[in-house]
Amino acid sequence: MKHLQEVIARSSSSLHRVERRMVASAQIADAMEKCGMSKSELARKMGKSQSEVTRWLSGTCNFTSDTLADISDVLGKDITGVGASELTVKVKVKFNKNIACDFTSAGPENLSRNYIIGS
Amino acid sequence: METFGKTMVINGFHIIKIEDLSGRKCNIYSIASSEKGDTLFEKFIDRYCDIYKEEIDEIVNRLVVMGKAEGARIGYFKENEGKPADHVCALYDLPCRKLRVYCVRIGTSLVILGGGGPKKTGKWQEDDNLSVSARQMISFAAALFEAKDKGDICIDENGIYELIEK
Repeated sequence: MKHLQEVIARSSSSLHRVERRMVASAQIADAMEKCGMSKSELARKMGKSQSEVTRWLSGTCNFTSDTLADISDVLGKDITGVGASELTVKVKVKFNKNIACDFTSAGPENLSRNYIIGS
Repeated sequence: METFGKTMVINGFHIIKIEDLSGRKCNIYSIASSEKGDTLFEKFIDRYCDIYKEEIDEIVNRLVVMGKAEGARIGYFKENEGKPADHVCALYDLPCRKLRVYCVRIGTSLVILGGGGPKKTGKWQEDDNLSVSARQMISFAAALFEAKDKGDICIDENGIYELIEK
């Protein structure tokens, strides 16, 4: 188990990239299921091979933003590759000229606020 | 069939939960030949974690995401690596990477990991090392589903349970 724990620790820096790929795949799979579209049908509509769609669903594909946009158009759903667990929202609001407030949210359990008091 | 605490034994296969990978979306197990012995997946990691660092990191990260966030979606696995309907499959690896790990996937919330190795041939049957790993999982799957069919165990979305007659 020692090596496994070491690998989990060392690979954590690339976890967000893997998660993003897998989330994009999951979103495509869910959208296909929702609209009852098969792999072969999606492949035909996208002008791709069925094996390419299989690769999209495998969670190993580094999607370009253009490919995600094209898939989103065909499926009628926005495929972002961003899951709820890593949703990051940054909002900057100014109050009365001298108080700025930054919100950074990385999911509902990890909400932080940084208040910057200006002059 | 015997049980030892968290370990369940079916036909000589000790099924051990990997807590570090399991999460709210998927329970991940591996198998060992003895209660205290390393599991097939641990042996796989130990053997390849330095030689195939990127591939191993990718595999482990994929399993972490399955366990904690996405579940073992069918698209993440290369199906039909074993006998018909025995649920033996392989994890998809990155394009141009060829490190296979075999497993039994049951729905989106249960994966039992085996071993594997570098894929140098078109079929696992043509590679001695991969043949051993794939056949181990095929034998395990046969024992697992035989125990299920006999009513010795129950498999559901939360894991594998021994059925105890009251």
